Parts: sequence; structure tokens; C-alpha cells
Amino acid sequence: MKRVVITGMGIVTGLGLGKDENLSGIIEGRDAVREITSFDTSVYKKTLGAEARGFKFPVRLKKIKTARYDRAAKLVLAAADEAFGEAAFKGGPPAHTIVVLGTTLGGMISGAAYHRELLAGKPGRHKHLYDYLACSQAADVSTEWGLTGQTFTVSNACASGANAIGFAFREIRSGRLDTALAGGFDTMCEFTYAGFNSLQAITRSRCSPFDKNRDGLALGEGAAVLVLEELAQAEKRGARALAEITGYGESSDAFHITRPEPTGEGAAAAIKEALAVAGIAPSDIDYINAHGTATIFNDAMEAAAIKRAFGAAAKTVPVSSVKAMIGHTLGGAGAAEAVISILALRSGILPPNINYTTPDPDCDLNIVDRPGQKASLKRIMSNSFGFGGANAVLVMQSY
Amino acid sequence: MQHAIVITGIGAITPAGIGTQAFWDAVINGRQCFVESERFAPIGRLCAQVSGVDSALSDRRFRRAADISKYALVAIKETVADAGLDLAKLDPARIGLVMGITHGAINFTREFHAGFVKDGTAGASPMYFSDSVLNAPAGNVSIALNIKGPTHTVVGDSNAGFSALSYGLRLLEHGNVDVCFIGGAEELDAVTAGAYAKLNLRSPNDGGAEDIRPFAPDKNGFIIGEGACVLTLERMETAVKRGAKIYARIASADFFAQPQKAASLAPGFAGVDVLVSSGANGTRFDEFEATLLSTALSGAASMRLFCLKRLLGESFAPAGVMQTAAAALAINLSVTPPSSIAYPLPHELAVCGNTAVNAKVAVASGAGTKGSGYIVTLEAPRRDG
Repeated sequence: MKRVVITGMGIVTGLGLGKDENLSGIIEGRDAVREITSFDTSVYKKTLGAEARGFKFPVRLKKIKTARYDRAAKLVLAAADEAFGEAAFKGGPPAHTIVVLGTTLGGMISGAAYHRELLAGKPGRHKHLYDYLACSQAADVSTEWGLTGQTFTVSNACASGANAIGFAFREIRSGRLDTALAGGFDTMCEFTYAGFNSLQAITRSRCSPFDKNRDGLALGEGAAVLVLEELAQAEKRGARALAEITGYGESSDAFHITRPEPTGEGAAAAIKEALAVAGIAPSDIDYINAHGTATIFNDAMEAAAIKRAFGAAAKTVPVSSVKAMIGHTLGGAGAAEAVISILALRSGILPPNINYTTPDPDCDLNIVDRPGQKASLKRIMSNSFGFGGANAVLVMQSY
Repeated sequence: MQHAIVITGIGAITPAGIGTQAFWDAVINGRQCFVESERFAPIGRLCAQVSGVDSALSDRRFRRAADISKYALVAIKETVADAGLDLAKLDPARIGLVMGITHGAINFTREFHAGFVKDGTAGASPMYFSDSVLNAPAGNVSIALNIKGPTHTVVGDSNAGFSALSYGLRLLEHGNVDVCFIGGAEELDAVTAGAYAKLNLRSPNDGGAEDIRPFAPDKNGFIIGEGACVLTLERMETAVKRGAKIYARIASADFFAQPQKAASLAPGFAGVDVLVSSGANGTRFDEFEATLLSTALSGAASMRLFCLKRLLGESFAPAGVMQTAAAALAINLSVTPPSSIAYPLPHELAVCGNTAVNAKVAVASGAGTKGSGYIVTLEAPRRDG
């Protein structure tokens, strides 16, 4: 089996544009959740979310005419620009690079705008259609960088971003490919807000994963992508390896379309597989970046899954969810949290689980409850779970 | 491919009817399954719609699910039975599922959106929302069949079914699963149909007769369709060990962003008997596929060209899976479906003759609106792998 390293990363979240702003936000424990401004919120009682405010599209991109593209494309292109820039391929990324992106919405902002025009009795405008399909944004990335490798858009709800990275990892690990851009994205869109609101899954107070008084998630928006390379190729071209991906596990609950399976059996199976692929024991993991949505059911299930898979080590391994800071970026979550996990790995500072004040007996984990805690980090795990019973787990280590 | 992967089951629900037999009957008889639309305005425009799904849906837990999920459920039940699999005897963690989707549960998506736009929070139906997510069909299928292994939804344009096939092949090649269901599903909807008309992709985009004429000089768009098709894939050794019926071996499944790159396939294409083309949906994207095919087939002698979309319309995600199913059936039954084209083909496709032969090698191809294509090659199974 080949070894898979990460040679570039790009990220846009509510904490900022790029790795530096996100790292400083994590170290400080900054809360990016605010009143939402992306859409008219007057019909809702209280709307909290983490928008990528102040996002500016990098103007140096050439082929994509940004005016007609959905905000989703702009976010993911900005992240890809940062990642490819860091990977520093001579003459640009190899043409055969595959692009694997996870999303739940694709260009839904455009699609909703088109449908709103129809509902208002107007002819929908063409400009809303070009970038609507959820596969459009991966094609946009390929177009901008002249890539001819296969593109995949994975939509496994909130596990999409992790699944996209996992797919690319397996491809390179097996020797089939040597280079991939993988990640995920989603925008702050009223469609999903209204949806999670209708499911009564959105917080009315503050997003506090694993807290006894948690009352729901805060939506976020963002994009994050990673350049994955086969180690020997990366070394040959003198690239700097930021981290190594060593494990990936996935499973399906086969239980309910929106509710997680409460015993955590499916999620635990994905965790165990990721550890087995990495060839390590639970006690070798120094930090778990949890899915931690702050809903009653997810967090209790995730705690149960961690205890199932980790046994005694579950009591000591530091755990946190960054969704209290960046919100739930849905298809982008697995990717954004993988990037944040690697930033933590490299900085030696644990991402805090902000807003955590009251321990929950159902979530009796070693929660990272304060920002700025230093730790010796060698191997970390990032969990992602989603509607439809999708479970995806990544293991990464320093290189 | 590292492992020989074979097709051991087919399930289909198409505008030709419920089940693979109805699908194949339409193929072999060249029957166009277009009707005047009943479900959406403008009434009277042609579409290719599925009928009778509710009576075919055996699992009543999903009676309120979106049509796209019902189509997927009906198709997968048939492919499981066709493959002779008793899923209860298999490790559910070693079963995979990859569904190709283009627009998803677009009727529920539209209803949910219209609900909250018109009536605010009171109009936002949680049922519509939870079943509108793009992976709802795969999620519902995994629940129905207790699939606990990798369960994925791959979103794409008209190539989505081929993308799902390609993705599922990886799960088998990497050894993550022992059996993998790959499929595609889509449902008709007024907004989608209107949007493609606005994009000038639906027939008749030139004011002429309403039809779908792949590769024709006077092609004028597609007729929109729907349905689902799911294939059972296994490694050859697994299928042989359990004595499964094998439709065909998947010799290759290649993606092309540049049609000229298909030249790499030419040396192996001398013996292609049947070409199940997408016809790239009878739009300007035909040119991409014609170049793709003429490049790949430059070494071929003569073959039968069959355009499935000329009979079943443009169903997007399931189309590539239906084409692959047609190619597999042609091999399994040793027949060549009649050419569904009665007009001159462009010179790039001059190799396509009309001679009926016993099909041993069949190709399914497609080109999507995002500027890429697939070529999937199937061969009669060789038990030595």
C-alpha cells in the first residue's frame, strides 16, 4: 500500500478566509455564530448561524467568470486556490488530478432564486440554472485548473466531505492514482435553514455540543479542500507534507432517514475500521475531532459510539466539536474539520469545544472545554455522521 | 481492472414498465415510450414517465416517500431477486450501495421550498425536507435492505449513472465490499422540465417536430424521462463460487474529459458488437460523444448502434445504468438490439452498421452537459476471470 500525504489545504469558514485566520480563531476559541444575514430572517424567531462574512473571491482566477456562479462555487474555488497554492506544483497541479467534493446543496442558492421567480409569476432567469446542479462546482474546479482527471460529487449528507477525502485516500493508497483534490462545501441557504428549523433541530440559545443543556445545531457555511498525494511523488518533487492520512472507515446505520441509530453501533463500526486501516489502537489516538452537532440525539449517539470503539481510552482521549465555533457546514463539515484537525496537529493546540459548561452523563467524554490547551499530538481522528445513516471517520497523523 | 467484476443482477423501472422484462421488450422491439405529459404543464408535451410504481412497491413503510425513492426501492428489490441473493445470509457491513442522482427528489424539494416561501415556517413540511436530501433514495434503500456497508450518493449530470458504476467498482476492487449495488434514479418534475426547455435542451428547440434524434443533423433536443435501474456487481470469484448467473464482465469503465483521449481504448475495440450510446440526449453534446466514440472505435470493424434515449428519453442519472443493463442483456441473450435510428449517422460513426450478430462485446457510452464522457466495456464472462 502507498502512503498518502497532504501537501496543500484551503479553507473558508465563519472564522475567516484561509488557514491563518481559521487557526487563530481555533486558538482563541472564537465564536463565529451570529444572527444570519444571508437571507430574510423575519419569519423566524431567532436565526443563528456562522456565515463566511467578508468573504472575497480571489481575483486571480482566470477561467471562471464569477458573476454567474453560485456562492458555493466561489467558496470552493477560493479554498482550492489556497490549497493548490500551498501544494506549489511546478506549472500547476497535474492535469490528471481527480477532484472529489462533498456537498448537500451544490448551487441551491441559485436554484432557490430561480424557483422564487417562478413562484412570483416571473419567468425564471437562465443565470440561476448554470451552476445549480450539485456536480457543477467540482466541474468548475476542473475547468479553472485545466484538470482532466475524473470528478466525483459525493452527497452523503453531513458525512459528504469526509467521504470525499476517504475516497481519494483509498484511490491513492491503492496505487491507482497519485494526486487528488478532495473536500467539501456548502453555503448558508434558507432552504436548509427552513428544513432544520422544521425539524426543530436549530438552537434557540447557543450551539453547545455535548453540553447537558444543548438544544440544537447552528448552521454554518464554508468550503475546505486538501491536496492528497502519494508520498513518493510528493518527496520527489520536494513538496512539504503537512500531515499523513492513515485511516478511513465508513458505514451505514440502515436505521432512519434523519435520526442516528442510538446505540452508536454503525458509527463505532466506522471508527473501528478507520483504526484498523491505520493499524493503530484506540489508545494511540491523541485527539478526536467530533461530529458534535449539538443536537440531543447526535451527541449522545456519538458519545456511545466513541465508548463502544475506544473502550477504556474513551475516558481520557480529548474530544471536541468545532461546530460551536464554525457552525454545521453540512457537506463541508468533514473537510473543514479535517483541515482544522490538521491545523491542531501541527500547532499542538487542541481546538476547544466552546460553550461547554454543564457535563452531560450521556456524553461523559473528556471534552476540551477551554481554548488554548496544549497537547502533544501525533495521531488524530475526525468523525462525520449524516442523514441517511452515513458514517465516515478519518485518521490522520503528523508527518 | 485488478479484479474481474461481473454483473449478476438487473432491476429496472422505466417508462417501458415495471421490471427488466418490460425494459428489454421495449429495447428489442424498438418501442418509443413517450406519452403526452399528464403530470405537469404544458400538458401535451411529450415525456417518458413511469406508471404504476405504488402498486409495485412492496415495502409499505415507504409509501409516502418521494417517487425517486420508490423507483430506487422497486429496482433494487428486483436486482436482488434476479441475482439470487439472500441478503439475510450476508454480512450487511460487506454490502455496498452507490446511487447516481442528478436532481434528486425534486418534487419534494420544490414543494418544501414553495411551502416556506408562501407560508413561512407554517408551510415548511419536515417530511418533505427530510426526504428531499440528495441521499434520501440511497438512505431509504439502505434501510429497506439493511445495507450497513458503504452507502453513497454520487451526483452528476447525464453521466451520473456511469459515475456511480465507476465509484462502485472501486469499492469492489479495493475489497471494501463483497457485493455492490450500483444504480441511478430520477423523477419527473415541472420545474426541471421547464428549466431544460429554457436552456434550449428539450425538443423541439427549433420549432420542428417533437422527437429525440441522437446524432441527427436536425436533432432538436431531448424528451425528458425518469425511472431507476440498479445493477448487482460482484467479484467474479464470489459470483462463480455461489453459482450465480453472470450477465457480463465489466472489462473497463473509463472517464474522459477530452474525447480525443479515448484513442487509448482503440486497440481493444476491434471486436465490439453492440454500442449502446447515450446519443448524448439529442443535444449539442452529441458532438462530444461522437468524437469520443469515433476515436475509441477507430479500430473496430462494424457494430450495431443502439440509442436507448431514443426510446426512453433523457432520464439523466439512471440513463447510464440502463444503457449498461441493455449492453449486459445483449451479451447474456446473445442478441443485438435493433438500431433505433432510421436516419443517416454522421461520418464519425460510419463504422456503425446494421448487421445483427451474437453480441460478445458491448459498449455503453455517455456524454454529459459538464463536458465529459464515459465508455464502459462489457464482455461475455470467462470463468477463468
